[in-house]
Parts: sequence; structure tokens; C-alpha cells
Amino acid sequence: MTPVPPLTSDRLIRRCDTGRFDFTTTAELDDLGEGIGQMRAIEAAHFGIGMRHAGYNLYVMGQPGSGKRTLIRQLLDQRKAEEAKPSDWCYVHNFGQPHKPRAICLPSGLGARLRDDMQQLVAELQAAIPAVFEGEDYRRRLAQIDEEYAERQSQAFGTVGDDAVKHGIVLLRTPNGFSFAPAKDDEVLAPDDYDKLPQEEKTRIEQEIGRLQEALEKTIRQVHQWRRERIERVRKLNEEAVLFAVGHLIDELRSAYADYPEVCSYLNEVQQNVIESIDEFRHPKEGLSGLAALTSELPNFSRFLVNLLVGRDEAAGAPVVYEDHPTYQNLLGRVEHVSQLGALITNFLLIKPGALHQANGGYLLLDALKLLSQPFSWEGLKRALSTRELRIESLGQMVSLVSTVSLEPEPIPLDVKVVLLGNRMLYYLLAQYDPEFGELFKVAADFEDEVERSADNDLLYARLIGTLARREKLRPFDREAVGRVIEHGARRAEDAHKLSTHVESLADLVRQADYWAAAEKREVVTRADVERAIAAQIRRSDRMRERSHEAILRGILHIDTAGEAVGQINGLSVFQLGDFTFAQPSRITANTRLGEGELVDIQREVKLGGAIHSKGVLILASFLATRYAAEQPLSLSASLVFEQTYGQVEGDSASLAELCVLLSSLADVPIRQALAVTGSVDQFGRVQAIGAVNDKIEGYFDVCSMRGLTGEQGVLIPASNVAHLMLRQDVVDAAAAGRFHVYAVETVDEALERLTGVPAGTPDEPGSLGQRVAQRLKHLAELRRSFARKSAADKPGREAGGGHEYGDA
Amino acid sequence: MSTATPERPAGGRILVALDASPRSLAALSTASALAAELDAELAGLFVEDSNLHRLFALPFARELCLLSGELRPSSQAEIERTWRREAEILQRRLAAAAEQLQVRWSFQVARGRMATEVSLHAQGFDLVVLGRQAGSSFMAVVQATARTRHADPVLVLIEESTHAGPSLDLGLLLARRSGAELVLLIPAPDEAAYRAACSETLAELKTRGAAARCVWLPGLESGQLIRAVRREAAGCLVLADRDRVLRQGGLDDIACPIVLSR
Repeated sequence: MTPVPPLTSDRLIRRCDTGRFDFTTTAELDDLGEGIGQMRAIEAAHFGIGMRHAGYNLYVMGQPGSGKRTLIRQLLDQRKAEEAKPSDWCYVHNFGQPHKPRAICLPSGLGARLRDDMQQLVAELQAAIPAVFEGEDYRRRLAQIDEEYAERQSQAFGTVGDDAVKHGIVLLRTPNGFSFAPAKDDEVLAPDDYDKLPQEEKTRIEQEIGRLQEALEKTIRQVHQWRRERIERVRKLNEEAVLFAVGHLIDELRSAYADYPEVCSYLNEVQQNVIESIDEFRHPKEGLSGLAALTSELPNFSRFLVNLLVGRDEAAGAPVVYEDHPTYQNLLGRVEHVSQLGALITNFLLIKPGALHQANGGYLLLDALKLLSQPFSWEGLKRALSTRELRIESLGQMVSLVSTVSLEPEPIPLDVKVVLLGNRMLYYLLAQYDPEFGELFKVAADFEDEVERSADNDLLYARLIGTLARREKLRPFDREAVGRVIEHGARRAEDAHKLSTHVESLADLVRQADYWAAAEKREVVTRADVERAIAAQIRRSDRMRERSHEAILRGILHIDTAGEAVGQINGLSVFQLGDFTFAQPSRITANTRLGEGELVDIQREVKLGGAIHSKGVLILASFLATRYAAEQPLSLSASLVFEQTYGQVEGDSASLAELCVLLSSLADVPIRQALAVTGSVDQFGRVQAIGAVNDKIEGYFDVCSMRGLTGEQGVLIPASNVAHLMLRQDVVDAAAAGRFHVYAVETVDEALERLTGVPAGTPDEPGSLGQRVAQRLKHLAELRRSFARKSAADKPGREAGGGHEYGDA
Repeated sequence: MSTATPERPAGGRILVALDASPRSLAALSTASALAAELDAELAGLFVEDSNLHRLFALPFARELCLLSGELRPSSQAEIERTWRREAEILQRRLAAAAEQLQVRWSFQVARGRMATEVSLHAQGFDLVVLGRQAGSSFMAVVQATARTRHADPVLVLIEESTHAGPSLDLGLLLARRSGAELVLLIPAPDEAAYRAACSETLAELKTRGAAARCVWLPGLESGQLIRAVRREAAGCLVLADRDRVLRQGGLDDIACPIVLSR
């Protein structure tokens, strides 16, 4: 078999053909409104937005920064203009049940008018009512009533007094009431004089006084009755006066709001309450203090005011609201309290709307993760969507922790389309574990992470770059700069035939390239600016990579990039630090000896290996046994280890390297240390694709480059990863110059031949690596059998091989 | 239009007769205002009614309580305690009002018949303000509070327009101080006489830069005066010839303070 040749440099990167572009700079391109390659998501979003039935809310999923929010916002902004502006909502005082404020729905704009009208009404009432009571007409009529009753009383008491005088008795006013006493010339008889009176006279006087007292009692009872009558007449007079003063004001409002029965009914109650509160208007409180402040429900006639909960401004169409902080209260509204003398009190004017109120009749955008992170918000949202009404409750009420009386505002009907923005994992978790989720969010819009890299999409990408530049007032990009951005988009997608749709990182690159263009005082962003922006991004993040490379160069991390060694190979590991990814070589070693078929993955033994890594190791054990020891016990004990790694090893991308190093150890054939290997392997020895192939190649290239490229160095990658190659320019240049090589292998045999220079061959092929492995395994099996026989002979009374696991294998 | 200050009546000493009624509070307010305006001394008088004192010495004395409608026994000791308490309160109020307006003040308690004692003590005073009834008042049963608002009109009884100067001055003073309307009660046998007297008095007022409203009283009986006071919801009534007024009495049913000039 001919060793696998290195890939030509043109296969290491797929350049953007900027010659196809017919623009000079992106300033000539139209804006791109709908994103790239998101037709599936856009169609789903259109469907979800268009369905007005209950439960057709949207879950828009995609990577953070994929531009889904912007795109959905654009769709909603286009849609909202076609829809009617929803109603205003007001809360007003409930005169019958003050703790249950009434909700009033009005056409948009009328809420603010009602609020202003009621404010004006209160101001006018405060002026008009005292004025009418100070007026001459009112005073005269009140005086007439008082005069009438005063005369009645005077006459009644006068009659009793006159009767008393006729019998030599006077009626006296005492501190607590009245009394009768015998008198002479208007002077009460002194006790001595009274004693001197004849007994008959005394008896007569006492009898008369008794009679007069009875008459006076009747008079007093009558006076009390008159007092009640007077109070009633004064009350009616007051009502009449108030109606005269305010009736026309309220009538005007009734006419203005005649089409809204709720408002008219409310105005009737206002009028009735104004009449009942005449004294409050006539003698307004100067300011409450002490306990009176606590017992006063609403100061300064504010019960007649209107709490405009949601008032639509001049902007047309349905509201589109994005709630960035979806706490329970920010979402569903709250009743605020104010502190008075250490006690918390509230009233209907302190009812505050939530995002659902603001978005009612329109659309509400929420970040799923933020929503689920807030206690009770998700439950509250689901309840509101299920019941289709907005009920403002405190958290204490909601979870039935408190039972103190607070406000219970009348619920408001809810008609809103909720758009949840989140990642896929949350969507699938919710779909799996929350039975209500599927009922309430029937539409999923799934945003693509990448799109096909075609000529059309390249042009769309260019338009997107132009749109971003225009939107953020950046310099336009020339064709070459666009081409470089596209190539970087492919690199982000880790695929030469795809483009990343991650808008946020694209926007970052565009902004940073503009920054460097500005630094160079250029009017247009060029390819060099984009290159510099990419390099600077890496430079800002690669401190750890530098330290790692330094450790390799100083020999602290032992990595050979030249020579040969048995049982040692360069694997490639990827490190993810936040948003930055880099790779470096890892030395993988293998030892083999006589054993019972166990393959020891030292990483796994010390719990530094992940499940997928362990799977890879087990697969290569299976490959080994099947190919080389299908008909004999696998009598070896092998150990594999990632040398000088102290963290978790995960993934199966090292399984090809591990298999190669294991076979090297078994066959006692050295491996060229100038090469590094990445790729996973199946049970039949086929090499399979792995991730981050570009980072891995570049990671090894950097180490070799720092030590000096020899022309021997290179990386073996799975052939299926060739389509993903979007390598750095310096790597491509080195490959073109024959100073560094990338080999694409399809089987472990191809890899072994390239690594060892020995034909892989079959177990039966003389001189091949396969034959050496087979012979070694056969030798180990024989040794084991001999040990088994000897062991049986050393134990008399026991049948040979009878108790051994592999005795007859 | 000129706003000449009315000629201030000579008022070196003002007597105010007080009791525990709301009318008495209004009277104290009126009297202290006058004292401040006229730089006069304010003297409070509290009269313990001798008739009541005798009444409660009688063996069958009973008091018909207004609140409960029940008859209850009382005694001289009880009435004396009540008077002492009321007198202390009134003295404190008088002192507070006088000190607020920087007015000299005194307070004394007398026992006897109200009209007699007021007449007797009024001898050395220039003005008398009645804040308590001279006899048994029935109005107190129905009037929970006396009208004490400053804006209530000041009524002046003009018996003879040619001699109404001091009363007019007092009325004008009180009206201007409280911002109230000045109302002239003009008794006349017929409308022509009323109109003539009214014109004459208004002309007199005009020379002082003031105006007023006239109200016709068909007669000078106390009943007619009381009705006029009620109808006008008076804040204060100014009467001249105080000796005659005190002698005749009959003003117990007037709820507002009565200012009596010589």
C-alpha cells in the first residue's frame, strides 16, 4: 500500500471567490431584513404570530447571539402596524368594595382622557362645593330650617315654662338639663322659706313639679324627634345644593362617555359618593397625622382619581414589549405600598402594570432562561395564559403564605402572544417535563446555526455585513474584506461548506474591523483590517495558549516533534476557555505485557476520563481482539495514558492515536514523532470525523513552527474532516511550501503506515506491522497457556484448567 | 375709593360674660379681638347662678337629664364642683386668648342672678360681650355648636340712625377684622321709614369707606330680633344702649355673641 500523500494546500482552505461579487463596497448593497437561511424559523414565526387562537405562543430557539431576537422583533414590527391598537385599561375606586378596585376598558387614548377629566372634576368639586355652601341661597335656606325648628322648640319649652310660672314654679337650665323649682318674683325659694310653707302647699308644689316634669319629658322627646327631622331636611338640602353645584359637571362627563356604560356607571357612583362626602369637601382635612393617617383610606379625594394602568401612546398598532427582567411582579404587575408610621398601606392608585399588561393586545418577548430563573414567574405566566386573564396578586397571596387583606384588583382579560427566546436544551427540557408547555407554546421556531456556503448565501452574507455596518454607522467593507469575513464565518461553522449564522459574533468582527480601519485612517474596511481584527481577538484571549506553548518549548511538557519512539504518539487536545478555543499536542503512551486481556485506560482509572473517551478505548480493544486474536485469548495487559495531563479528558478523538500507539507497542515498531494524530476509530478500524480539526492542526503547527519546521512534521486527520478544513494562512503557506503536511486517512492501516513507515498489512502478511502484532499476541497467548498449565500442576487435587477462566480457550 | 379707618370707640375695658357653652367660646374670640383692636383690657366674668344654688338645696330637687331623659338627684356640692371646673377652664382659655393677642386680662367669679351680676359688673366697663345666657336657654338643646366662623356676617341693630355711631364703628371693626359682611338691622314701622333710615345709615357708612346690607325689622320685639339673627346666620350681634338691653333681657335664644355698647 502506498503511504497516504499529504493534502495539497488548496484543500486546506476554501477561499471565498470575491470575483463573483459585482459590488465594490457593501455600501452599494441593500439591507438584509430577514437574516440568512432562516426560512424555516421565519415561516414558523409567521405562522405563530398569525394564529390568534389560544396556546399558539412561540418558542424561538437558537444559539445565544444568533440574531433571533432582532429578527423576531423585525417580524413583529412589520406585523404590528397592520393590527389595531389595543384598549386602554384603568383602575378606579370601587365604592362598594374598596379592596376590589374596578377595571375599566376604554378605546386607546380615552384612558388618559378619563384620567385627566376626573382630575379636573375633583379640582372643580373642591372649588364648587364650598362655594355653594358659602352662598347666600344655601345659607338662607339653612337658616329657614333652623329658624323653624328653633321656634318650635322655643314654643314647646315656653309652653312648659309658662305653665310652671302659673303655678309659682320656674323652669331652670342646669348643667346637664332642666329642673323645676318653686319661685317667688323669679327667685327660687330658699330652703328655709320653703320649709316654712304649709304642708299642703309643699304637697301641691311637689305634685305640680311632678306633672311639669312629665310634660317636659314629653317635650324633650319631641325635640329629639324634631332634631332628627331637621338633620334629614338639612341632608336633603345639602344633596340638593351639591347636585346643583356638581350635577352639571358630572352630567357633562356622562355625555362625553355615553358610549361606555362602565364609565357612566362609575360616574353615578362618584356622584353618589360626592354627595355622601359633602363635609369632606366643605371642610377639607389639613393633613392627617397619627392614627388618623392610618385609618384614612384615601387622602385628598384621590378616590375619585383614575389610575391609568395602561395607556396607549400615539404610536399606531399593537404593542411589542420586551421584558428584560421578568420577575413575577415585572411580569404580572404589583400593588405597591407606602409606609405610614411604620405600617404599610396601599390604595388602587398604587397598582402598577406588568409587562403582560403593557403587551396585552400585542406581543411580549421574553428570554426563556431569565424567565425560568425568576421564582414563580414561569408559573405566573402559565396561569395568566391558561386563564386568559391578568390577576394581580402578591407572591404571598399566590402561594397562600399570607392572608392579610390587601387589594384584589379586578382581573383584566388577557389577549397576548408570548414569544419565548431560548436555547434548544431548554425547549426540549420544558417539552419533556412540563405538560403545560406543549399546550401553551404550540409553535417552535428553530433558528439554524449555519447555512450552506453557496454563491447566493455569500452575497446575502455580504448584505448582512453591509446592513450591520450601516445600522451601526461603520465604514463599508470592500469585497476582499467581505471575502475574509465569509471565510471566518466558515471557520466559525467549522466547515468549509457552511457559514455560521451567529450574528452577534459576526457583528463583533465587523465592529472590530471597522476599529482597525479607523486606526489606519481608511475610509473602507479592507481584508487586512479583518485579518487584524481576527488576530487581535485571538491575541486578547490566548494567554493560556502561550503559557502552554512555552511549557512545551522549555521541555516542561514533554512533546517530541522529531525522531521515532515505540509506544509513544502525539495526540491533539482541544481546550475551551470561554469563547476561545485552542489545541495543543498531548503525549500518549502505551505499554503492553502478558495479561488476561485487560486494556487499562489510566485516565479512566483515576476518574480523569469521560464516558466518551472510555467508549473510544473499549472500541479499540474490540478492534484489537477481533483483528489480531479472533481465535485465541487476548492475553495481554495494556495500559494507555495521556502523559502530563492533569485535567479531565473527554471525547473519542484520540482513539485513532491510542490504537496506533498500542499497536506500536505490541509490534515494537517506532512511531515518527514529527507527526500528530487526531480521529476516532470504529471497531473495524475505519477512521471517523472529529471536531475542531482546524484548531488541532493549527495547535500542532504552532508548536512545530516555534521549534522550526523541518518538512517532516504534519498531522493525520480523518479523511471525512477534509471538508471542514479552513486553516490559517500561515499553515496553508507552510503546506504549500512542503514544510508542513496534513494527511487525510480513512483507516487505521493508512495511519499506521504513515506513522511507522511499515506496511500495515494483514496478520498473515510477512514483514507487515499486522504480522508483528499477531505474532506478539500469539506469543503472549502461549505464555499464558504455559503459565496456566504450570499453575494447575502446582495445585494437586484440582483438575488441570478446571477452575481457570481461560484454561480451555 | 378711600378706605378710611373707622373712628375707634373709646374702649378701655371690655367685660365678657362666659359660661361653658359654645356661644361663650365665640364670645371670647370676639371680645379678645376687640380688646386687641382697641388696646383694651379684657375682663372675664363667670356667674354662678344663685337660683340653681338654691334649687339644689331643696329636698325634692331633681334634674331632668337631656341626654338620657331621666330624672336624677343632684346637690349643691355637685353644682359647686361643676362651677369650679368650668371657671378654671374658662380662665385658662381667657388667659390663652389674651396672651396670644398681647392683651391685659383679668377673671372673676360672682354668684347671683346673671343679668344682675352682669349689669353690676358692667358699670366700670366700656363694652360688654355676652357669652352666656341670662336665663334658661332652650336653644342649647338643639344647637350643637354656635357659629364661630369668621366669615359669618356681623349684625348691627340701628335703633336711631343719628345715634348709631359707636355701634356702627364696632360692627365695622369686627366685620373688617373677620372679613365678614356687615348687616344693618333697621327697625321701622313701615317700608318708607325703613328706606329712609337705611339710606341715611349707608351714607354715613360711605363716609367711612364702607358698605353694608340693610335688613328691615318691622318691630323691636326680641322675637323679631332673634329670628333675624337666625335668618342671617349671624356671627355676632352689636347692640347699643346696653343698660336697657340688660334690663329687658329676652336675648337668651340668640346663639351668637352679643356685643353691647353704652
